[in-house]
Amino acid sequence: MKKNLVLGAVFAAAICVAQPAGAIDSTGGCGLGSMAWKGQSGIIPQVLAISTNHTFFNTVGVTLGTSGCDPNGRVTGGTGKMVLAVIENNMEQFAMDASAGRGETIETIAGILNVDSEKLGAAAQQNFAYLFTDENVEAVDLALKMMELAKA
Amino acid sequence: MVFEMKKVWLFFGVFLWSATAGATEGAYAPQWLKLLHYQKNGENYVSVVENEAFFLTENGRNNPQAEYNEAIRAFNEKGNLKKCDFPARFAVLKKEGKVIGDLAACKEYQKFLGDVQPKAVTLLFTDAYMNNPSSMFGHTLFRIDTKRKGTQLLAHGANFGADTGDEHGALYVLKGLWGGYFGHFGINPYYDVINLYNNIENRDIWEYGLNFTDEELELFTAHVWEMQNAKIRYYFASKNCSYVLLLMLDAVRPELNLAEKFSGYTVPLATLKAVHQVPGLVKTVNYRPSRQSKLKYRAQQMNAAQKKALKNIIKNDEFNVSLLNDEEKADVLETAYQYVQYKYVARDLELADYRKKSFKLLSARSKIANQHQYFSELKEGKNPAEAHEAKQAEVLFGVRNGGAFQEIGFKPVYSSLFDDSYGLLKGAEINMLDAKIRHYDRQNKYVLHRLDLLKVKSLSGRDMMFKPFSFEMNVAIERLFDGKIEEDHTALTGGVGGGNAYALTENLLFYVMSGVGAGYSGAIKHNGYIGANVKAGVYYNHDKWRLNAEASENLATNYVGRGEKYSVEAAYGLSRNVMLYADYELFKTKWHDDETVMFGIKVNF
Repeated sequence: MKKNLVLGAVFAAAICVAQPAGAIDSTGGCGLGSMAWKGQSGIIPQVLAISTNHTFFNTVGVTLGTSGCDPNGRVTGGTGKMVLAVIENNMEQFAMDASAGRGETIETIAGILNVDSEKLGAAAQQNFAYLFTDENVEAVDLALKMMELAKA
Repeated sequence: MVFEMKKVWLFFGVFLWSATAGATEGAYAPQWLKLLHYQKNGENYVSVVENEAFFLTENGRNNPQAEYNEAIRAFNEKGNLKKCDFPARFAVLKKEGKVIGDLAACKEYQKFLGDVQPKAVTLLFTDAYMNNPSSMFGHTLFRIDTKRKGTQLLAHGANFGADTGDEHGALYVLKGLWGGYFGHFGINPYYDVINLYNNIENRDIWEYGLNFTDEELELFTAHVWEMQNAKIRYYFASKNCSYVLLLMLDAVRPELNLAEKFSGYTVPLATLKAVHQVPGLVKTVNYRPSRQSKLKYRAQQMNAAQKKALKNIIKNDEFNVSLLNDEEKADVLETAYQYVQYKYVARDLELADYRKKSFKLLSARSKIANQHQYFSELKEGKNPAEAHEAKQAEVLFGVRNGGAFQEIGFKPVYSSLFDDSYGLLKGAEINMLDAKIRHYDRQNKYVLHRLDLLKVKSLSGRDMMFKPFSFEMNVAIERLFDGKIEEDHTALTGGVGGGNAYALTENLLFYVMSGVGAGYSGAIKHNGYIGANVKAGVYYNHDKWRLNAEASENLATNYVGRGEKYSVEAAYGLSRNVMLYADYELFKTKWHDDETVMFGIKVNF
């Protein structure tokens, strides 16, 4: 028991404590950076997340059937909902993959939409300026545009 | 004689039969016992799961037979949907022919299966945080791989963690040690797992694909479902996440018997090794580097012009890549973007600034119309499952101030700067309960030379991108040298220090640190002292060679803590678990000096 006590005191800081419930504030929008602190609680990330512009999100989010940046659900729903979930939860990686025309998020979206990943990547890269109109672009907007590009 | 032999065989046969009777089926068969996580407690059974919702009968936690009987009754009862809460128990009973029917009516469970679409089970190990030796023990969780088209981003992680609420500090530690918290399983998409460990905490993820049959996969998935509502008392040092993961594996394949090997303290790295050592259980190993690992690897591959361009972007915000060709440019832009992500997560960047920079870099990258990736991806890591063993024993021979001695030592965990760092955090050490006993020939007596209760050190090189802090911490019972009378006093000592380390080459660090310390001993004036020190050192670690040379100046309120200390320690690995070790130490005091040289062997097991 004594051994456990000493060892435990040191492990305490490091071993498998449940991750804090998703501290992301869905009122903060789902743009670039909104998910970067997911899982970290505290006042600073929430304050910063709230400063995000989110007017566009609320209206289109209803169309695709999501309630917002959903950090803790299961992968579920139809293709539209899944594409949105992948983009909004992997926004930072998706942005890079789109600009480079390849990557894991592109492969994943191509899989969901059942289209060729290389073609979708090329389309995303060529249409990067269309996808990312400015730095405050929202996930819903991107999901809709990616589905549009996949059809083309 | 023949008759007698027959009798013996008959007896043996009956013995075998009675030992195995019911061993494959029934309430006391390993399958049922392990699925409900019963453990033997004297003559009785008790489940490690404590909440009533996990059982069908009132005293189910202590009564495997009652649970077994009630499960058969309830699962066979028409319209009774209890089976939907316990699909793994249903599967086991069905295989035994005790229940009929199926789980088609279980809407939520079917929805779960539809979302998860299980294909295989992977054991995940997330290794050390940069700059945090205690995280060398890592973290383990499961992934239920998915059949979905696309990638395993759409798979799900199954994580067992403690529900600690908002408590911090001493209460949190004490409650954790004495089982004041409960733990439970949570399911998250794998991309959440990646984001948390790879991108937020900058920890590498190792994926160990398990060789499960279809039947085992089905049982595992079903068991994860029923374990979501199970509450298990959580002990930081023993019944923690990694222990519960072993219980899960045992439930699916009872003959593994993995959990019973870990009745004392349990650390994730040790359980990973235990799983890794089961023949045929791990069929694939995949490495998923953290963002930081990827960044370091990319920077290593850059040519001088690229490095300069990258530095200009991340240091001076000067965006000049015109001298580079397209390939070089693409690599610099992608790397700079990832670095911006890193800085943002580290809270070194404001959101607006971060978005502006990210947008600018990616817009430029998108204009280079080539999907090919020029830099090779970091694919190979050093498998932590193959790191050295945790326990260490040593035998050393030495001379101290002209007198010969022999030293034997033992520590239960974990790794020092001189151990083989393969699969572990290089430049980091964490040692606990490290005891060294000496026999001095001249006095012919045995003494406890030193007991390090805790010794932690982290040397982490700073470079253009990363600025880690190096530190050390130590609590020990040791023999303090008294230069005036040339004798030792037993003392309790402790100290902390911090500073910076610089990577001179990939394998050589130079460091400077300052620190404070204190000592308590009944044998010295005022029973103790407080002190301060500054030190500088070099640490080399490459392949078989590990070397540390250090010099320090020590100030203290008592003369026993005052003086200059010099040390050179070197180790040469004969194998991952065996090394030759040599040490030279000199303590220059105002009176007599204390000089030790020793040589010997250390073995991990």
